[in-house]
Amino acid sequence: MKKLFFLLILGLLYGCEEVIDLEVPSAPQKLVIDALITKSIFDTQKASVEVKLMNTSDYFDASIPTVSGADVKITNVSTNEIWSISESDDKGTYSMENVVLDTLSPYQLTITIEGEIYEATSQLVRSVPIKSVVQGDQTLFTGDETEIILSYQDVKDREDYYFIDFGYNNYFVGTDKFYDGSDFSFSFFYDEDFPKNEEVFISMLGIDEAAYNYFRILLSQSGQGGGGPFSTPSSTLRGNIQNSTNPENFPLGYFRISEKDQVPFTAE
Amino acid sequence: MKRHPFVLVFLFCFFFVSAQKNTTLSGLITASESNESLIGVTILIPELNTGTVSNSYGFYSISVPSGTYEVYVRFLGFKELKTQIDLSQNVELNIALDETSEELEEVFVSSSIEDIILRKPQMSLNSLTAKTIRQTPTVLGEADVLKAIQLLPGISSAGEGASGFNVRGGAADQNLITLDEAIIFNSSHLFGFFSVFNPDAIKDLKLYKGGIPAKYGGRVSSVLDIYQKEGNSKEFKMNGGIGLISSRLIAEGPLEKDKGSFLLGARGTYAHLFLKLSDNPNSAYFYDLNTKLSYQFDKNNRMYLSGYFGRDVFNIDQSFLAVYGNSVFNLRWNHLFSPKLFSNLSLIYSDYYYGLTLDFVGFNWDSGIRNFNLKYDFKNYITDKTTLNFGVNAIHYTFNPGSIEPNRDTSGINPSQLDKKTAFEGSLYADATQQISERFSIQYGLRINHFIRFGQKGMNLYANDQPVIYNAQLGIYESAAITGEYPDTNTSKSIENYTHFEPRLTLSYGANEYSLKVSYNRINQYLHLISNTNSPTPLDVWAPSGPYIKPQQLDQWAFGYFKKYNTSYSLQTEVFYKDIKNRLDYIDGADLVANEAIERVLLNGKSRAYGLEILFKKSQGAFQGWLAYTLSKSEQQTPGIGQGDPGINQGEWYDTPYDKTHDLSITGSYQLSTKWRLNGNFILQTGQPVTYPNGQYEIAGIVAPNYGLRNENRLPAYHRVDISATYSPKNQKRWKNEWVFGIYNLYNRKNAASIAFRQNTKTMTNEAVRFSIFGIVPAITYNFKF
Repeated sequence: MKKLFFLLILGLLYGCEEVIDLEVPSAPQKLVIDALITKSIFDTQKASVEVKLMNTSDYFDASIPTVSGADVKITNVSTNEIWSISESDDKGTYSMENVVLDTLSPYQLTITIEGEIYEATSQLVRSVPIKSVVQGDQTLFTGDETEIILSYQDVKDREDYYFIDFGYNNYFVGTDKFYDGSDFSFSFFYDEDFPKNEEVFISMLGIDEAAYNYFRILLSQSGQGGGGPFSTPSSTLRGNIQNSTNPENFPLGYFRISEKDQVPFTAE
Repeated sequence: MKRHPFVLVFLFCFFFVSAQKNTTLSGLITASESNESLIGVTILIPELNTGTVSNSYGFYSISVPSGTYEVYVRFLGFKELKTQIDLSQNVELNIALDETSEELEEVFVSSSIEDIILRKPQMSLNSLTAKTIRQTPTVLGEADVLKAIQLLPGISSAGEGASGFNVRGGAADQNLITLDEAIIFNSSHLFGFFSVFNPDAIKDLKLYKGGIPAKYGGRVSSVLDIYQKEGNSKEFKMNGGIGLISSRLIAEGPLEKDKGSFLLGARGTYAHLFLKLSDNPNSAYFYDLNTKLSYQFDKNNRMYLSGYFGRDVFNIDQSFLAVYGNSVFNLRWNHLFSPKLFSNLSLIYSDYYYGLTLDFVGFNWDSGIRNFNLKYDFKNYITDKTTLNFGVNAIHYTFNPGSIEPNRDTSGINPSQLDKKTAFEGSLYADATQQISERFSIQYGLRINHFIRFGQKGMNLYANDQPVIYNAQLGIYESAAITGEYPDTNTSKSIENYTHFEPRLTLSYGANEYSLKVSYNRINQYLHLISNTNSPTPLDVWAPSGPYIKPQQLDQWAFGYFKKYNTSYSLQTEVFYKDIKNRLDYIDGADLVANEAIERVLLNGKSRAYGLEILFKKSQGAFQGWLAYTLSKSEQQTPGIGQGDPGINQGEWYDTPYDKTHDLSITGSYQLSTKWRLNGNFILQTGQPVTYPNGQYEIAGIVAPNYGLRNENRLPAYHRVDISATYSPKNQKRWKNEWVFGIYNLYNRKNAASIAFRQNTKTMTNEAVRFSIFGIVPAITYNFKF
């Protein structure tokens, strides 16, 4: 919210943007683990697992290298049931469909690569169904924006955090701190590049407070300016995964288990 | 309590020092045309090799052995006055000086007189007259107080678009800014593009960067003391200016001829109206109002009533509205107990408000600080060699961190009120300036502060009193769980208090045309601006010290060498070292918006700054100006909470966001003819510290940069040239006017205000995008006076 404010204000004033050539430092590669288990909000137990492994690359490189041949396992901590997640045809992506998720149990992710073991624990975080997505007619700043109004009924007395994918690289994370238990709606504004007359899926995932902080910082780091009065100092973003064999060599990335709802939306 | 006998002892010393029979020459110094009191006028008695200076209310007093003397009165911009006074008994002499546009002629006074002034033990002080401020070319043609002071050494900002300013490597919340003795919390309009001070309403400005006298306290880096004009008590006058972006108007006149006056000033921008014309529904504007009423009851009593009201408004197509600003109201009473004892009592009410309405979320947020302040300051001009300042100051604060409510019926927002905080800051001070010998003088003082944080609802308790814990497994800092609340919520009872003694000392040694000065001061700061952005923003909240936030504590040493080459040239060089304990920093990604328990994201550390300042000035002749160069370092260290954790940046020292290694400003003004004056600036600075990414990765479809340690890189160097020309047509009697033509950033350098690292959504590659605020900006302003 605060970041939005400042981007708007800076844009409003006499300012100009220019892509420049800049030399940035280069750091040794780091392993990145993007692990997500999602269960549809309407399904009692069936879930899908997707784990993406990659290494960091230099900032201006054209691609990010994936990591193949890792051993990926997910264990139900209460029952010790193990799922072996195998690599799919998509290199670096390890997935499994139609698993039966124990909604009350924590799960441990264990990845072994070249003798080092990476571990993380997570548990299902509940969400709520999306009541509606409708297009509005307001604009925000340039007058070319497309407004989308998202509505949902928040659950009272439960600390809820939401990760919302609005499609086309538009993401948002929110907290119910100021609207706990309410029938809540808010507007999101797409810029003029957002396609019209094309079906896009809007999804809403439940996350916990630690994941909310992680994604809030990730989104802020991936779009905001370095330097300038409104930046907060950036530094390495740690997730919830550790390297048990060699703690100094920690991986980046996050492991989360979310309840998910997804609705289609077509802008006019 | 141990210190009090010390204070009493030195107070007593003075009454015995002046054993000879002493007579006093005292009075008020005003400008003859308007009766406006003049601050900082020099009154000299060359025969006795002594002199004094008029105070912030235009009052002067000098006590010497009885006799008849020649007295010289000098002030820049006014005709020098020379008169003979028979001081066989106390004489009250009110002096009215005539303005002159001619340069001061060195006919009456020899250069040794300058030394008297040079020997005064005040260092690290910059004064600016309203005239100098108006002459410096600026963006959009608007003369500006904060832009002008940044041309002086040791003063900079965190970049274009940054609110506030940084003094000697200090943070923007460490500056005590006062307007007619009232505290101003936000000194900028529109993110630093304008200051909140209308230059036409200002009489005098002093900026203390170090050697801060005991009269001031509460902010560790500097004191910016600004006094407004009282208004012309002889006749009605108006002056103003019309510019491309903003305009201002001042009306002043007598309430009762020669006894009372009023001043009314208004200023505002209207650039947003151009946006409306082009169908752009957004607007950003500010306005401010200055008012002052002054009345002289009799020769010993004067009263002033001042007010200031300013607001900034940002409106983005009705979806988003932000409003913030200061309001201040104060009543002051100058009373002369005797020709040697001057006093000023101030009663001040100040309010800083900030509010946000987000219609697209349905959310309305109001926040603010309110304070009541009582100050009683005394100045005792004991002899011409000894002056004593003492007084008391009491401030009561109420902080509203946020009142949240729905802004329309269809909003799902629940109303809530974040817990209000209250605090009290009280101080006693005494400070003496003594000329020990012909060359050696000293200023020493002590300030004693007592700060109380009162009880409130919602003051949390944590296990082991640790609101932040370190998760060693994940290698991150986390907020600790709240284990309960302080049981006593009584807002009249103290839950934490601090008592501090602050010694202040300056020594000065003066010889022919040069002087050496050294100073030490200790200052504590009890209010902190909670902000983890590089520069303050209007949404940032001020928080008082308490059980989890300790007061910042500064020790500053400075050493300076001052030399006057002849009447035109002077050189000031200073080196300084500052050490600040309890400087806060934030855990990575701390979310400060509407955060009720700030202590859960704070880490305590320290900061330090050191540097060299050089100011070379030419103050007379057709060409005047100065060159200011500062070489400095400002860094901080946040070592961790003692749980085996590394702290920020591995516990090493790292640059503060406003560290500027080199800062060079050259400014000049040339009177080409009687009608034309040319002004120019050249500014060159090291780029600000920034963190560049050292890699990239992708999570949940988000392509993110990877970063290493904080603030290890620099933005490109900042430099620009500004020029302006002022045209004043001849023969102006009743209606005086001038045109100012200016160009900001003459060679259109796109200085980086920030660099964003993001993925280009069309090409799907990463790019570095430089954002710059001002390219070349021409401006025209029309100023008038009648």
